[in-house]
Amino acid sequence: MEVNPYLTPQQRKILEHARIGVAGLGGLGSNVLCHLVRAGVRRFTAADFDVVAASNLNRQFFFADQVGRKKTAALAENLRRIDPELELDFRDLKLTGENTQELFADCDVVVEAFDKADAKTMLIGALANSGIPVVAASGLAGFGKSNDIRVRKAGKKLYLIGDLVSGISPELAPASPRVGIAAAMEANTVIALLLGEEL
Amino acid sequence: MPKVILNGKETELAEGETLQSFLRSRKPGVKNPIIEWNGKILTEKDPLETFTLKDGDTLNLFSMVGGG
Repeated sequence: MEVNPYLTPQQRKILEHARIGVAGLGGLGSNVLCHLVRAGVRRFTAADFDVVAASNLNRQFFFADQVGRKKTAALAENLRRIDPELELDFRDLKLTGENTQELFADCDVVVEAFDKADAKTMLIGALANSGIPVVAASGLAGFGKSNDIRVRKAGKKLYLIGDLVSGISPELAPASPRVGIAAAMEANTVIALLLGEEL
Repeated sequence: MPKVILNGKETELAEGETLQSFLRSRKPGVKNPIIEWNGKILTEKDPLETFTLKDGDTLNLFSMVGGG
């Protein structure tokens, strides 16, 4: 069964052979994966060491009966309900400057999907000289200002998505619509890169 | 006076100034920046004190803020 019957044979070949890396399985990562799976991507390498919390359900692709479970296991289950034939290499580990490049070495594109700012810069720095395109996000907390979220290219292979200013704070929480916009734009950028479409 | 293009604007530079001293004096408020220097991607973990800026260099700073 094909999840996305609307692809051309050429598009299907490219998407099914691609391997996408995802660093973090929270509001960005879980939703990026949902979009990529529905679009027809099937091979993924991802890492997260966290468990599903009740406070994640405002924006992350998990369900109330999954609270307390490892995100890697719960998300694999949810994604396989969309496409049972996925090839998922999901690791329950913390990514660092030491292990990041090795884990994602065979990926065609890596998605930065962390919550914390210093983890975002760690991931970008770790892959800066790898030759692998990185799609990252910065500035997506709060509500409104949809048009402030956009894609910027930096260097040869870095794509930054967000408004670059709306960080989380006690006054500014992450919420499903804006995190979802950024996640969809990350997924759309990955697919544009794979298919050679305009960003 | 040598100048760099910082986020699209001409900005004056001291002769022989390093990337680290430039960022500290001109952009002290930018936390967790991704630095694009003549197309090369750097972070604050790179040895910025060893990179010397020169006239006509292009520098773009992107602030990485939390949330995801």
